[in-house]
Amino acid sequence: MTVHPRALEYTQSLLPGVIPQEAELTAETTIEPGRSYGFFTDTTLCIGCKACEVACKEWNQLPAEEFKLTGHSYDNTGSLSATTWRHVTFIEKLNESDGQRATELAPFQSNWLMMSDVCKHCSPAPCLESCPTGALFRTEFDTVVVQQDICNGCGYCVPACPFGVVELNVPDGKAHKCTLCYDRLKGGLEPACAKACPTDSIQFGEISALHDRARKRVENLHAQGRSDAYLYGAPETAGATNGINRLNAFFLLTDRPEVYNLPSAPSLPSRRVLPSLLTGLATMAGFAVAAIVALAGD
Amino acid sequence: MESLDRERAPYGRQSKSADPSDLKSSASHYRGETYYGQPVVKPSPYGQLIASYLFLGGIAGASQIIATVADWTGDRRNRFITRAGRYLSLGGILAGPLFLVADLRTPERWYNMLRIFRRTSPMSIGSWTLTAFGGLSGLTAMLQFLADRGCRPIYRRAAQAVALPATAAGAVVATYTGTLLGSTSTPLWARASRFLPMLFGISAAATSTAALTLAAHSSNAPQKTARRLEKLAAITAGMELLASVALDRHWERAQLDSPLMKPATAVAYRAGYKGLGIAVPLLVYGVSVATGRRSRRLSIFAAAATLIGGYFLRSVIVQAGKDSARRPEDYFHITGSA
Repeated sequence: MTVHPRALEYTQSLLPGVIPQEAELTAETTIEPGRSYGFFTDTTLCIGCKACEVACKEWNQLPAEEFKLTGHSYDNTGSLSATTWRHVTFIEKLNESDGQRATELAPFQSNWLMMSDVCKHCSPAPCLESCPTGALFRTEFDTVVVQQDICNGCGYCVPACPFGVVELNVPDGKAHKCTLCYDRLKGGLEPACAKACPTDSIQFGEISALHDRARKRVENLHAQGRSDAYLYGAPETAGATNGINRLNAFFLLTDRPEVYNLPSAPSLPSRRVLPSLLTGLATMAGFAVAAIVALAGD
Repeated sequence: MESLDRERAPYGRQSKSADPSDLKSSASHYRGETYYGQPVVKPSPYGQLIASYLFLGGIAGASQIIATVADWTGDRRNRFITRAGRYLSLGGILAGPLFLVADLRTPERWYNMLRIFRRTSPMSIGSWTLTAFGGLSGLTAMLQFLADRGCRPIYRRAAQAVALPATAAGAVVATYTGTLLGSTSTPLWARASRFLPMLFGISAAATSTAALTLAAHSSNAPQKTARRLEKLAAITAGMELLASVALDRHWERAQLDSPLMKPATAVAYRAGYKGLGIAVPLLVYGVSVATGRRSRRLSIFAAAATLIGGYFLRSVIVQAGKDSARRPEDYFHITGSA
């Protein structure tokens, strides 16, 4: 493994300040406004350590959830929420249907499926399209962020999201979700979760570069005999359907999307607006005719 | 603490092939195990406040339509309908948005609704339409008031002119709420995105007709006026019966009707909405036609039942939608392979 030449400029343990464009050292990416950035989450590399969950909570100063045991494998986080922006799912793959433990193990993960779920930063994004205040906006890095000083807590983005990501927070009355570490991107740092991921299951980068890398990874896995590997959320794949062109946070999966709690073919809710409005207007036109009939003098 | 749902326990989960080609060829409905039965999408935060707004906004929008139709058709006996309709419309549109603002989690920022216009957002379309409709309804009601006080006839004609754009906006106000619910990822609503504005619009028509009928009975309006309104109520109840039967069949075919089967919801939907809101007004009209006698009491009863039923409709749709969002199997029914 080669070390980035610039890394040699920072050998002391106490640094004088933030390393300019640190992402070049940690993610081989220069972060510049006007380009598209996102995550490629390769679930075949996830070991379920939840370092991403912790790093996200720490960097974004998100409060802890209520302590509880779900009984759902090692997943006591449960779901993404207003205060949880990374969520590792745990699926224990046992034998086919007889409930017995597997006698043969898959070549990785010991028959576990683990996936670090996150806001998909969809393009186009249903939450953003539904937001009446403009609080939700697309940043110069092609990510989707809620502006906390504008959101008035109408909550319409919550049912709009096809992935159940954005949520209202009760104490402050605003909608919250992953910002793809907007503040870090502005400072040339890769997002906290990607930096913390010890296996590079979460990879941060420019979208087109990530797409290339992900397609190569799928080919590689197929060549190794993992013919079930596929991309979710890259253009023209599952997850990027019915008006959603791509997910800026996309995934490599090895089982059906539903197994990971993801929809196979989500749709863009705004596609339903015009036909629905016109049906409503036609109905009221019909009612006006009925009213003319009923109210006309006899 | 959530209990482990044995029926949905992950153990022994059918491991389906994840071959991407299999994704395309498989049936559109996913029937395998879900992720511990955990919801995929989040339920909307809406409750009774929003249901109340849906009810009031519908009445405000539709009564403006009735007022205008009454103004342009028929004889002088429709004048009561025009006047009462315009005042009712203003009342509804003054009260309704209070519920909307009260439902915001940061209500002091309500004016941010008018910060931008976004045509992909029914909430934004609705905010602007409500603003326009509120202004036009206020102006119409004011001109109506001046005309009623016997001021110059120009006021009547001015009211007639302003009422036209108010009526167009009213048609949007009465129905966009169905579009708003339909343009989400909530399974029950998303699959009914064309039915909901239809049903909400018809219910808006029925409830505002009922409110005007009550107004006619409680004032010195001519008897003919109440009879015309009763006839209109019978027509809208008939339309509502057809629309709601069609929607029920639609949901049943899409296998999304489970949330409507929940005991409390089922009672509110069947007895509250269909019983009071549709069956009672149809029966009362049928009785009065069959016997040839008009009963003022029965007419008042039917109108009150229609109003209560209309509220039940909004409340049931809001609640059942939230329940459907919590059911991963329902969401996977509407997001089968592309």
